[in-house]
Amino acid sequence: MFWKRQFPILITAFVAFVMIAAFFIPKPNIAVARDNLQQWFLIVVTFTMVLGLLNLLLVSYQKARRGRKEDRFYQWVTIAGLLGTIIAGFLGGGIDGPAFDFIFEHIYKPLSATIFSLLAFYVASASFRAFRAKSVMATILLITAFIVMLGRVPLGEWVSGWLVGTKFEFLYLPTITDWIMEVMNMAGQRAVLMGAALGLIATGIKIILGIERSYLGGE
Amino acid sequence: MTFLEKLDRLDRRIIFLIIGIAVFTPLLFKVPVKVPGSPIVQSIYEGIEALPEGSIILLSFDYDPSTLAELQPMSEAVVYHCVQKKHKMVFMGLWPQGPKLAQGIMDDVGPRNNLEYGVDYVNLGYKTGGLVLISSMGSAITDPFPTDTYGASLSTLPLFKDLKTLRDFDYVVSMSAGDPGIKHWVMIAQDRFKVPVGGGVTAVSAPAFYAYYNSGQLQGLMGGLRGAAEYETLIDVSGSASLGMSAQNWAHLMIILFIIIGNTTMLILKRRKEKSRGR
Repeated sequence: MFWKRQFPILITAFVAFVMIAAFFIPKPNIAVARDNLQQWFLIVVTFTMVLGLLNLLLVSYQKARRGRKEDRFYQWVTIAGLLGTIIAGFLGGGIDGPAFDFIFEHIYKPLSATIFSLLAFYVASASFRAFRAKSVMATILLITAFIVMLGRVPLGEWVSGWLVGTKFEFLYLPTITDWIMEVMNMAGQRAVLMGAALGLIATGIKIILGIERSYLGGE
Repeated sequence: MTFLEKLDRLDRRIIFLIIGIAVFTPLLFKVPVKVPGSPIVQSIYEGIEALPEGSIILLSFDYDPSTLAELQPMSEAVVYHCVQKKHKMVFMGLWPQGPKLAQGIMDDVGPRNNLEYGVDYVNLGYKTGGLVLISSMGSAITDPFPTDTYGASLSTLPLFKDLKTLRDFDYVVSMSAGDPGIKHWVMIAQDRFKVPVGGGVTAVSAPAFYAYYNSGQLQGLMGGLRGAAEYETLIDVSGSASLGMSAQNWAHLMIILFIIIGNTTMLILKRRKEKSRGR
């Protein structure tokens, strides 16, 4: 039990105290300890990537053998893609070799960009079906989104450009958009950021003191 | 079923088709749209512009090809600006695919401007670690990056003769699609090592960074394709962002029309329903 519970908590607390001390005490000895710990972290994280790779391979293989029939093909595609890219990288001259380059430039890049681009179509469909003024709050959200969407593209400048130089210049859409972003949005974002930061500090203290142990698994 | 009821239940494939046409047609005709630079974008431009010739800029490509359409034009614009100003560039990535995307830009820009690898620019590649990696660069760049992405020792590269730690950079630009990214550069490079940080993010995540800009922790920010198009206007280059703005313009217009149609239909049908109930 000691090696599984107390020992990892001791390591966590030790590392945390060294890092905190290094931040507040500018002494070379502590800086050296901090630098060493950072190097260890980078090495450990690199190994977790290998672990993740093996895990993906194992889970995909298990699903390809015993998973839902209709999903099995996609699991084999994942495995083939993973192994194919690794082989291309190792045997085809590294990440700058023609084989890896071909996979990255002509398969991975366009596929990845295409999947993300599909969002535009779903946003359009959702805007038609779900973006409805069903309550006061929804209406405020709708009007705000409307202004920001117009103000973020040249269309907003074309539509409201004639207002510039008149006493109604404050209604120029890009100006309203900037105000929404820099005043209303920022106030909300600040509250979220501060709340998250306080939560992070509280969680950090709980982890250092061994109160929060969920990262060890179990419990 | 009346016309309005049919419209209310419009097949989503028709919406997809309309959006497809709205995006594709402007791209086909390649009409660039110039967008004036806003203060938040101008701040990065001025930060890089004000640096003396030969300053060293760290460009961190913290994204992958999924956000290529928004972030690659930003990267290209900043690289063009650095080349115009004859700044030295060091590329790296907190995301595995980032340095490869940087290489794609330099394969084109480098030979056209007679830039010499190792002297004018270096690609450090990718290392895992995010925040800790940046912090480690603050002690010594060679700690996390003993070699560049091609395996050459940094001590053999002329650019790294006087470049030892993160503090030696004159500016950090992070093009960021998430975590790790620009927030971590602000936390370590700007807040701890006092190196000015600017950068670009996707349009959807830009609102979260206005607070950093307002507090002065972030020198400037490009948000989405518009941010990139603004930067292109500032450096007087008509690149992929200016071309893409035309498509985005039409896509936004279509979405706005969909919202108007959807809400108008809903209101009319609702009123009709209430009337028929009243009878």
